[in-house]
Amino acid sequence: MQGWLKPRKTAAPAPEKAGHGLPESVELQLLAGIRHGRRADFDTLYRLYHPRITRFLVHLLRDAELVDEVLDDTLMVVWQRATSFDGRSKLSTWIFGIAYRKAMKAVARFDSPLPDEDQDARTDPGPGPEQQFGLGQLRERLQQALGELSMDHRAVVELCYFQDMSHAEIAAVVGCPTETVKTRMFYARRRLRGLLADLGETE
Amino acid sequence: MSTVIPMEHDEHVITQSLLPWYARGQLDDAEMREVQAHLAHCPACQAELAAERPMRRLLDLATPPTTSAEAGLARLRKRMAAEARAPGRRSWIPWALGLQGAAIAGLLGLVLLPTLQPAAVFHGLSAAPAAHGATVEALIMFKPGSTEAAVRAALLAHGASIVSGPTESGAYHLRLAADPAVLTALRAEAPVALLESLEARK
Repeated sequence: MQGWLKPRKTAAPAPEKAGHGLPESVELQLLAGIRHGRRADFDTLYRLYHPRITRFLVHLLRDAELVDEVLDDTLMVVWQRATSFDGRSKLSTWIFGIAYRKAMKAVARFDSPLPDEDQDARTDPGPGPEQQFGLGQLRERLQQALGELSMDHRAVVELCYFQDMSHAEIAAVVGCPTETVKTRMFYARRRLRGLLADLGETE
Repeated sequence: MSTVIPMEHDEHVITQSLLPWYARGQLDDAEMREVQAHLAHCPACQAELAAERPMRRLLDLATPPTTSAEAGLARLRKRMAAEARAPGRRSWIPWALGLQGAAIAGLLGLVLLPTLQPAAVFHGLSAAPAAHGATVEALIMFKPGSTEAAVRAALLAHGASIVSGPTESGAYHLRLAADPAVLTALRAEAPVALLESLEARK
């Protein structure tokens, strides 16, 4: 059964999909303002992208300080190099691409795999009846499963499931062929699907 | 859960690597047909498709707590000011920084109001509350050339409402009563090209 995954309050509205921002034309108007140095336009674009980029980076980096740093680096590029956006992709693809490259660089600088070691004292509760799983434990197992994926794989999951990007857009963001995106999705999805099955979401 | 063993050019692998985008109506026609053709005869991959909704709900648990955009903006402003003071900055930056202050609030209001309105209207039109009772979400595509009146009549007749869309491939997210008969009846309507439930099961 999937009791624990069912929305508890059916009256609550569905969560906002992160990918559904303002129309592209509005974002491009803001970018035009930014190119003219208009801070108000930058502030508006910042507020639009802050939640989306933050959640992308949290999933990618799993380290709050690094997230803030890369977020700032990304938006600084948007402010300072708005003219380098060539309009051949969506604005969101360009901005997420900057965030992805900045994140990769930040991680490479530390030359450490992933900042998740502080959580390695966790114990795996093991499969069991769903009643055993509190929300905290579910989160923990999910974080563990996500942590076992590479950054590249997490990026594909995040950009598809939460930013609603097509595989072609994701390929543009992470700078790899579409086929690679599909392959990463297959393996990442299979890992998470295994967790889902463990939790009792089996056929 | 599928027990498919991944192999290059394996139909199951190809299908499952595309399922998340299929469920969102984000595939091009060729890929969509490929997935549909495989799903039609593969119960394992049908089960994988049905798992897409619970997968999304599972991943929602990993959603980080929201942080304040205003705090982030304040932090970035400091850095922008510092970098603007540094030599070699472009000349318009100090001018732009001069815009900071009370006037910004007014400007921002002017910018935000007109830009946010389309989104608000869109939301109002699209987020019609579902009828009471259990509902499911589904993916719908309409036949080319269908009129708005025909689409509206079909949706109204079966108590379905559009949640979001169109996606790039022209599909819409639909919410309708969790009743297989309703799904079947709506699927039979003239303007409907494709209708797939996104629920694991009822």
